[in-house]
Amino acid sequence: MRAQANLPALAVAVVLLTTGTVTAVALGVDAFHEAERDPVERRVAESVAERLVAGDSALTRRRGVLDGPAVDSLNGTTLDRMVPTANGRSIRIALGGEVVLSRGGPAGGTTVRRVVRVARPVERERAIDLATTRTVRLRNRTGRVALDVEPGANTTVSTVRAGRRVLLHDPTGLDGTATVRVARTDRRTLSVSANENATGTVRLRYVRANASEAVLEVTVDA
Amino acid sequence: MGDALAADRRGVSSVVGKLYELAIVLGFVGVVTAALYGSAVPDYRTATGVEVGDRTLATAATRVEAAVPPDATSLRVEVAVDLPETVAGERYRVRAVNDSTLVFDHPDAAIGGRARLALPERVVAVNGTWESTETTVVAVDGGGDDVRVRLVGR
Repeated sequence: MRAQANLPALAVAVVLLTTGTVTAVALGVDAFHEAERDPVERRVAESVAERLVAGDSALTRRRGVLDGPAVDSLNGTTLDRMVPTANGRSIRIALGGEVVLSRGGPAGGTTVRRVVRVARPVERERAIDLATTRTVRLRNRTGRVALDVEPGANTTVSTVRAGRRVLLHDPTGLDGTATVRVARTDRRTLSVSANENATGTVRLRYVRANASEAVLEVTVDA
Repeated sequence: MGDALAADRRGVSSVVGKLYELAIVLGFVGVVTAALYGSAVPDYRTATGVEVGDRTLATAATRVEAAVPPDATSLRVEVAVDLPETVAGERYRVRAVNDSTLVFDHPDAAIGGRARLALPERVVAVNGTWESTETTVVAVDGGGDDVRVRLVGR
């Protein structure tokens, strides 16, 4: 048996090689599982987020600016109509940490975040006391303004202007209510022309968009 | 003498030893090759193909969605989409069905899938087919409420 002395050595070599091969394959399996992502989940989450903040979405005023009340009334049916991709998937939509819509209770899954502005309408009322002031500055994009002109005695309110554009004019005196639109291109100063020593008030009512920043989170668990 | 001849085979034993070694090494190589190419490698090829296929389909769908520009009265857009030429070593096809879904067709039945597109309502039609070996382009034209998306291969 002397001549077979290298057989044990060969056996050891075979065992070592086998161990090496098995270890390599096992490492490969681990690496493979670690590299596994769910591209479908991510895609759906991205499309939903993208469609929700798009300029032509039912939830936005313009691209990236969500309409607060519209977001509050979002439900599964409207979501599926807006984004058919979301149909039948576990999904959760949160705005600024508050869950707006949750369906199927996604556990884990993929989350996509978008920074958005959320506009909420706030009713504002202001009054111009004609005895002291004649102008008032409005915010950008004010839009429709309801005016209520209440002149005092010996007072003729002839003109209301936005910047230099005339909104209301009556040389014999304005009185009562009227609704005007302040265009985006107008200067933001609303001014009232009246005679000297005028008394009375002009009341303004308008809706101001109160915008705040928030993070929109869309979580999808396929 | 016959006994002496029969007993004297020491010269043979080294040859037998080498034959054993040869047999063991060949057997080992055979078993490892069979294990790797018989099951491990094809399994991973398919698993990788499934993964790459999913990603390719997701990329294609994202690109098609992104190719549709904001609302305009008249538009004509062409966006090139870079897709792998083969998945798991085979050519494949991406086609649009029902104006709303991309389908990934691959010779291997395990690889493939469908992706529902999220497009604005003004997109009325999505059609066309991409072969993986072509230069793949998304063509969007139309305008207003009548926007059409086509998958074009060149």
